[in-house]
Amino acid sequence: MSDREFESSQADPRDSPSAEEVFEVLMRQNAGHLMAFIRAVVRNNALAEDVFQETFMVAWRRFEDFDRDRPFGPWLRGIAHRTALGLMRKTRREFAVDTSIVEVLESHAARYERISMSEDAGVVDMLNECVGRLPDRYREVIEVLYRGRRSIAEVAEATDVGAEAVKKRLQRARGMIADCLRMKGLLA
Amino acid sequence: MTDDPDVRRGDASEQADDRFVEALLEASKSGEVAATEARIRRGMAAVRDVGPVAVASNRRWWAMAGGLGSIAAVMMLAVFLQATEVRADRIIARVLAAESAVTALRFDVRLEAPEGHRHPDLEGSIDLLARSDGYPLLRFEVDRPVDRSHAWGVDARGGWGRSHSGIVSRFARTEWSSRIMGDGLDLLLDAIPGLLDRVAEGYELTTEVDPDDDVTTLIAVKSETDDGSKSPNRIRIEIDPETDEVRRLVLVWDRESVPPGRRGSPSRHGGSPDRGRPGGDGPPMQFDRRPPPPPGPAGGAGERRFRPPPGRPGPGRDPLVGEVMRTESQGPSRPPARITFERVPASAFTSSDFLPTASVAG
Repeated sequence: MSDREFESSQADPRDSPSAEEVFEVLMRQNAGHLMAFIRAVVRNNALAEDVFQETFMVAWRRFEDFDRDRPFGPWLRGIAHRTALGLMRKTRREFAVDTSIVEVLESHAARYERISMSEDAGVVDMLNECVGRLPDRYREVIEVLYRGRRSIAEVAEATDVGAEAVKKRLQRARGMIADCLRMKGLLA
Repeated sequence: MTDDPDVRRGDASEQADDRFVEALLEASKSGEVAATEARIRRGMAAVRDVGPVAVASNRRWWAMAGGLGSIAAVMMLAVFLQATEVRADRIIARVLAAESAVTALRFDVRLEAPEGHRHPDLEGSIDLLARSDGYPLLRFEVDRPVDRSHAWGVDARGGWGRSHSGIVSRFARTEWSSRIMGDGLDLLLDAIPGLLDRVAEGYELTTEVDPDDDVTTLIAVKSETDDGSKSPNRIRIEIDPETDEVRRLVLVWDRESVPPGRRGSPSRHGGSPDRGRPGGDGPPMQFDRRPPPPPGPAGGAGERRFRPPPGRPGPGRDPLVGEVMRTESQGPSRPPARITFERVPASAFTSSDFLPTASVAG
């Protein structure tokens, strides 16, 4: 079939989505696990926002090169990882993320992607349930810090324990949430 | 540092788990829905500035669009099928953007008591003041029926109630709404953005557009009617299409959906009975639900702390004090059948307008 014959055999191109529209849909579908991956890599909210925007632009510029037979999420996260490393170097952050950590993060993000594509709010529900199962003193720290938007110092003051104790509780709580999410299949 | 690859891998896995959980928790903060929408909008604005990607030929691009198979075709179909959700998300994002600039809100409020409830319907107004450096301040003045007028609020010190006879009681800020109607007005503690965040997470959303384009309506139906929480079963949010501001809110509780075990359930101090237990069916994420802190210094002029002895009636003749007693000893009252909020113009409130002793701001 010639190009011309191929073209004429297709539906009216005016009905087809533009590259921009397809890209927007893909970015919306992938924004959740992409941001989770970026946040986990850079561990800094302001930097994470920059990495997200830069990833967005790089992905758009390279969209034509994207192999349509492959899944979009891992491609996007690959760009995000390289972008994060570049921005971290630029901002002279002292640490570079160990490759083995990024490999695990990639695996977690891929699971997140699969779950979010197949279930409505599946990841949110899993996280909520895991937080809900924490013992009171751990749940309290998580809720106040993340849901109440308080700092560790504020939590320490409100709960009458030292900042170090709050940090330890927080780390322990995250460990318990990780165990719970592993049981639910979100973490490897 | 160890050279043992197994140990290193185990350590990397642990670190990755911690980082990922931290990222998920960050994403669970209120406002993330709007933040995600803003990210996409910024990104797409930049994409439009850059212009189209280099496309080899129209044929090739059309072939990709038409033959994306596992990606675009499915995605576009998904978007078509989920048009309502996408539209609702966009409406919510627009409202959040519009409301983010609003710091003062006033609603006329009507609370309709559940059928068979001995209390009359209540009418009044509620003022909200968002603050950049702390939780929102709130004042709910009930002025009808006149012989039952009273007020509840949250000022910079925490929650307060003022009875019909002028007695002021103090309590923890987060106990505020449970003293009136379970979790009903809790939805408003974070003002409109908090309400919309919750709606976006826990409800099935549909939209209605007025043929004259006079109002856009978002209808939220609780995803799981028997989830044990006392949040309303249905929420109707009417939005001004010109300004994207919320005009009217209606919260409705279906009586049959309130689990029997929840009616007059144990105190909310520390959460619902099964919240936090493995397998518990209580709302998994309630914010800042610590037990109220120990009593602080006494209140200002005109205030006195009300602390009834456990298991014994207090001054009890005052309806508000009676309600406080009942709530403290028996748990929250039942939610109302319906609450209707009509937005009215708000003046520029100050923190002092939310003190229990202040007169209602004009």
